[in-house]
Amino acid sequence: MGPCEGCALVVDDDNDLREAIRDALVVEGYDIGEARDGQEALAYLRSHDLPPLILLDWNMAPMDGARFMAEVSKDCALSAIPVVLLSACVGAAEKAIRHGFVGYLPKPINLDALLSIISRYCLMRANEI
Amino acid sequence: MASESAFRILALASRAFATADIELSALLARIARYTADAIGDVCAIRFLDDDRKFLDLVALERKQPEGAGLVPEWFARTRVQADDLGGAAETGALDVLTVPLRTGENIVGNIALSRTSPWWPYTIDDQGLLEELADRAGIAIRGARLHQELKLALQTRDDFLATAGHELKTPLAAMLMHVQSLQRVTRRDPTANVVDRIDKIANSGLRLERLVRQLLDVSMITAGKIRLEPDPFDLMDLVGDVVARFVEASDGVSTPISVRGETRVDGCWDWSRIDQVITNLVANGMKYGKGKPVAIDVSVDEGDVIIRVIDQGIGIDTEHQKKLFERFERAAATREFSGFGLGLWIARQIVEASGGRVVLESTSTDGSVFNVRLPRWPSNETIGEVSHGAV
Repeated sequence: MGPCEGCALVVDDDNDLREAIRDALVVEGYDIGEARDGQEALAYLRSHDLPPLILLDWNMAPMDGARFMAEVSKDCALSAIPVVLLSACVGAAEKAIRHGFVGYLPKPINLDALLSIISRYCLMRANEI
Repeated sequence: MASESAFRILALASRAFATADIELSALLARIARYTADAIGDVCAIRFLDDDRKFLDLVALERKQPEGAGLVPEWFARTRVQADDLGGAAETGALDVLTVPLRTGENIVGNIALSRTSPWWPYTIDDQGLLEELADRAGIAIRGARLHQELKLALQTRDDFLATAGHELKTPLAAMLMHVQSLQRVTRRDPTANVVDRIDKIANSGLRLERLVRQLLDVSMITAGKIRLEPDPFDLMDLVGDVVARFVEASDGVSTPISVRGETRVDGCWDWSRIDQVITNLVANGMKYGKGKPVAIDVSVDEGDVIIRVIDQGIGIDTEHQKKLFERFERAAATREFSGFGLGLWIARQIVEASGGRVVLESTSTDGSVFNVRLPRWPSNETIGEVSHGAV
């Protein structure tokens, strides 16, 4: 995937779910970058324009959400990107506060809630505005 | 040892062991300490390992402060040969006593005593007393072990429920995301082309269905409710079917699967269950196979057919090999690979009910080989119900 300005990054290790989120956001007019875990996400961030928003799963391997957030916090530019936690785990809301997420969406994800968050941080593709 | 005093020691031991902390290690330490105090001076408890070849030290306690003297080096060894009962026979020492430790009918280890200083031989009465103590200890140990097993079983169940919940929720989350999106899309434009998205919903649905079927299989196998329905067929037809299904599911782009060996193997098996066995083994090989080829090798050995599923994956470490075919067991870290970890257990239940056996033939960092041996024309006696009574 080439660099694209203003596209949110979806990080989830489940291919089907990641694809579903991407498809749902793409038809609503957003460009989306994808990564399978924290490591891939860091590699993505270092090789693309910084996204206006990251949607991050918590339980991933090899690099999980906690380690990704720790890595991101070491880098001034990266730590300025708002990150929303996507998680089916109990205690996710508390985790979101503790680890500096700007928001939290429980899985299964409510699309309206997701779109409302996305619209706050991301611009639609030029031709959709 | 006066008999009155011995009686008192036993009475106190019964109480001490019965009220002991139910945690096994704490109980063992208490038994060893009590025995050292009662008969003196140092007490070692050893358990037989699974192969009953070695005795492993599980508790070593000294009478305080008298037992602070020198203990023979071998007495404190963490592992000794099972036929060498703690070294007593070897040295012929009179200041060492060793008696077997029994839980019910089984000898599970031994209890050994050693005097430190002053040198003071044990008597036949001491031996009788230690035997009595060992019997009481055995009963307490059995209780603690049962308690520990129960706790572990409950923990396994809870872990499994958490994993199962997560596994079921993920395809459901993908489906619901597509569905919500399609609701929005089709409300905006009822003529929108959504075929592609519907295919994806169907795939997630199938994934859910497979997971639920596995759960149902486990519950039916455990309850002994699955019956095999053997019919004569050519096993290679079935193998071909399984491979075709994997190729179709992956659009031919992922792990290559090859079939080698025999071209026709007639026999009498339950088609759908053997399909399940081979499917589970191939899926396992693909899951851990790092995208490298998986091979199915079929050969005939007298009245048996041998199906070997060979992957070039990450291998399985020694610790996990023993537990591989157990229920809810998975060698790899939970999150890296999805699934319940039930596939191999289900495969084993079916193979054994078909009169055969499945083993991990070899494993290394270059991959693993699973070996299934099935009788081609099983008699009624060899075919059992798929049943796994113990929970």
